[in-house]
Amino acid sequence: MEQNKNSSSLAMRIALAAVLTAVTAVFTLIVRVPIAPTRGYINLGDAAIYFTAFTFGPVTAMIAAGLGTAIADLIGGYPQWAPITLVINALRGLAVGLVIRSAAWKVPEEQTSKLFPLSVVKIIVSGLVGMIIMVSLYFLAGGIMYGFPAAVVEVPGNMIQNLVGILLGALLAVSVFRAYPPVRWISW
Amino acid sequence: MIGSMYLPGNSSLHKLDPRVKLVLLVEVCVILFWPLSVIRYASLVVFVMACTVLAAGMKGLFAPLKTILPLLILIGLLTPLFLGGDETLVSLGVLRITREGINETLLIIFRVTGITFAFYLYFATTRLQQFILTLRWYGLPYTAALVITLSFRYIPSIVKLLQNVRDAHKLRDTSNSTSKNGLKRRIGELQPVLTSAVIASIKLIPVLAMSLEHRGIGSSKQRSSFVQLPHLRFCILHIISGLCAAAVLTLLIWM
Repeated sequence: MEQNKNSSSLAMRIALAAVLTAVTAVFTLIVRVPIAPTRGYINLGDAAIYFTAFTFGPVTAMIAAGLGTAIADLIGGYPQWAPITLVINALRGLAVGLVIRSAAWKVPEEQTSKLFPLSVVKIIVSGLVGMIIMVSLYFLAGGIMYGFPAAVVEVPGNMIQNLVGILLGALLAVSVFRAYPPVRWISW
Repeated sequence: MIGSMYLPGNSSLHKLDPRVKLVLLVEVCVILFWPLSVIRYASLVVFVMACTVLAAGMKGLFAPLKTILPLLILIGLLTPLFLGGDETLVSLGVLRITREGINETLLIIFRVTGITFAFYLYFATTRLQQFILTLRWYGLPYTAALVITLSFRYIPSIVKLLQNVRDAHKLRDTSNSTSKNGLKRRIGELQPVLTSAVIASIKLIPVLAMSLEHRGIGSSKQRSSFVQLPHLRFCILHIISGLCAAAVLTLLIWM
């Protein structure tokens, strides 16, 4: 298949990583969902990370998640977090992508929708893996940087952001698979 | 390229070589995790803040503070309550505030402030292009640098794309605001906008890949490369200035 051949070329891989990195950065910086009780915001960078991992695989997710969120920190006024964000989100993207592409929990071909080749179990398990990685590593990094009492306060917020990210990332993946089927042949 | 934290200026830090500045940034971060007294932490933070004011003006003092103020308040309120010690200053039932707890809290506050100001100072005096070239000089692979620069190139396009899609969806009024409320409704409204924007972004990928192939990416006839930063032998003054600053910082630990 032509698209399959293209996705294995270096130029295609660079283009894939660059555009999805930009998408992740924009989702982190621009797209915000207000939460009424706290009057705070959830950014949708996590949704972009999960979408990329569900749709394009572990390597693209690792690059786009790590670089995209680090770039968002750099241009959004939080450069001190950029190195930590880069490492944590790259690991999260890689882990989610690896779980979603793993042979475990593989559902038979006839049971999966042709429009969406992923199983719900895989989405839930990979989402939980991603959430555990992100929440625990940010807690650890925060604890080392400014003490565990203050770091623990961020845990619930990070969990909510992750849950919204998993939900929206999965919805986005389903919609994109349905509305633009050629996306199935682009992955790295 | 897109807007960044860079503040145009003519200060010595603006002129200092970005490679030297990056070494100094790493040194400041290492020192801020070194076991030092509160006074030494405070003097280092004051030094970094003074450099920030000299390089970026008073605006440079408030912009980074604004981003960490809630965190500093949180640290100030919570940390003393959870750290024990022998010398109790205030006791409120089971909660004790000790001298050691206050000391540790001040150390953490100075550490967070120092790291924040050091990073701010670096990016307020260094253009993003210079930063990427610095990373290249320190060994960042060509393809990784290309991904970063291309993503910077695509961020404004995707922002514009998202705004256009959002405006178009608003015109069509596709939301069903009476059936759902709160977060669920907001996500429901957002999903079609994000889907359209993401698909439009994905469609950019083959076009970009084709243009990269035309530029020789992935073949032996690659026709583009990154600008090289000047050779270090042309930056002797910068290196000497950097060494002096590094020596001052090191003295701060050993004095």
